[in-house]
Amino acid sequence: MLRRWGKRGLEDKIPFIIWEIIVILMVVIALTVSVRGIANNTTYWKKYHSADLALMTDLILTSQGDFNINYNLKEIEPNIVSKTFRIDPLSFQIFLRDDAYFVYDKSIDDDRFPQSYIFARDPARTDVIVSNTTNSYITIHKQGRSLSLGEYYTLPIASCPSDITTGDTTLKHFEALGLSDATAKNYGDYINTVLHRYGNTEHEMLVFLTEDAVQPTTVYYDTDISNPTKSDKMACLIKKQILQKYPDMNIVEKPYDNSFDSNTIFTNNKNNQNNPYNYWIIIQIKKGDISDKDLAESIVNAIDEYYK
Amino acid sequence: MKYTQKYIKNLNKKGQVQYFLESAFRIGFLMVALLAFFLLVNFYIVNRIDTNRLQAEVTANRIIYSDAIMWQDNSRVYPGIIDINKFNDDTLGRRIDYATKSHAAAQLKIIDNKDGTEKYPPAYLNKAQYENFQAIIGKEGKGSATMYTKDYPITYRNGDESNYGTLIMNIIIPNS
Repeated sequence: MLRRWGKRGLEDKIPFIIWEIIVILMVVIALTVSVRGIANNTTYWKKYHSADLALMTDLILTSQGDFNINYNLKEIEPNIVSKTFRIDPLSFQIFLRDDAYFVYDKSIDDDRFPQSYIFARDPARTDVIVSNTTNSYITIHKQGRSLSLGEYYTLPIASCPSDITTGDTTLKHFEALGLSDATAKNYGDYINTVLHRYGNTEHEMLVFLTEDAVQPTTVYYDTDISNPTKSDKMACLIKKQILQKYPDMNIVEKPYDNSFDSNTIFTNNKNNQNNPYNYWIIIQIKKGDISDKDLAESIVNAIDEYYK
Repeated sequence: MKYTQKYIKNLNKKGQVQYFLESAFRIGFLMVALLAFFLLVNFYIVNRIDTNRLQAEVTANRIIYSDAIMWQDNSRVYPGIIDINKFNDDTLGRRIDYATKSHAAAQLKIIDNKDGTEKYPPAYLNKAQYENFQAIIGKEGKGSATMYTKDYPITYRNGDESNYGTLIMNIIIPNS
C-alpha cells in the first residue's frame, strides 16, 4: 500500500504529521500534569480531617468521664492508582490548639494554607493541651481535665470517677495514721509532715496505712458514707499516681471488705464522733513495693487533682 | 540536512497556506477542547465538605447530653432533665464556648406540657449572632444561614419541683 502512495503527497504530509504528533504529545503531557496536580491537591483531605476531628472532639467534651479515641487517617496508604500515577502519599501534620484543629499538608513548614475547624471549648471542665502529630494513626484522649492529641495511647488504669470535687484545700485537713506495725506508723508520720501544707479547718480525709508481706498493694475506699464515689475517686487517683511512679506495680483498688474490722485503731478512728472525717481510705502496702517519699508524693498529687 | 533543504525548496507555497489555515482552525478547536476539559474536570472535583447538618446535630447533642444545662447530682448527669438554675445564656456560653461566635448559634425554649406556655425566658447560645442570623436564614449561597429545629421531651426542674415539658431548639448554622 505504501508503494501506491504518491511520493509528493507524502512529502507534503510529513510536516503536518510531525506537527500533529508534537501537539498530541503536548496535550497528553498537559492533561497528565493537570490531573496529577488535581490528584496531589490535599485541600479536600485537610478539610475532611480537620472537620472530622473537631466534631468528634465536640462530642468528647459532652462526656464527663475519660475518653480515648483511636483515629486512622483515611487514604494514607498508597494504592494501585496512586502508584501508577506517582501520586505523592498523603501525610499531614495535625495541631490541636485551644479551640480548633489545624491540618497542614506534610508539615507546618511546608504548607502556608492549613485547613482548620473549631470545636466548642468547656473551660470549666477541660484544659486543652496544645499538641501536634505527624503520624497517620492518632489518638485523642481526655483524661481528667486534660484533652490532648497523641500518636498512640493506652490507658494505664481504669478511668477514675468524674465527680465534681472542687474544693479549697487551704481549709481541708488530711491525716495519715499507721494501723499496724512500726513501718506503717513511720509511713504515717512521714506523710503527715507532708500533709501539713493543707488547711486545718474541715476534717476531710483520713488515710489509714498498713503493710503486708504477701498481698499486693491495695487501696480500699470507704463505702459507709452517703456518696462512696468520692472516696472511690480519691482511691483511684492515688492508685493512678502510684502507677505513674511504678508502672509495673501490681496495685488494686477496691471497696472496703471489712478485712480490718478487728483492728482497734481502725474502728476507733474511722467513726470517731469527736473528730469525724468526711471519708477515709486504707492503703495496704506490699512490703518493699513503694517508698514513704513516693507514697507521700502520690497522695499529695492525688489530693491536688481531686480538689482542683 | 540535505534532504530538508531540498524538501523546503520543493514545498508548494499554496499548500503551505492551506495547511496553515487548517492548522489554525485545529489549534483553535484544540484550545476550546482543552479548556472544556479543564472546566469539566474542575467542575466535578468535590472540594467542599458540607458539615452544616452535622454541626447542628453535634451542637444539639452537646446541649442535651452534657452537664451544661442538665440536672446533675454529685457525679451523674441526667440528660433530659433541665436544671432551671443553669438555663441561661451565661451558662450556655461558658460551657459551650465556640471561639468564633458565628460558628453556631441556638435558641432554647421550654414549653410546658400542661398549658403549652413558656414558663421561662428562652436561653441562647451566642445570642447576638442568633439575632444577626435571623436576617439571612433561608437565603441561598455563602453568607446565608440555615436553621434546624429540634424538639425533645424533657423534665424541667427548679429546686425540688419537676414538670414535664418540651425543649425546642432552634439551631442556626451559617452556610459557608
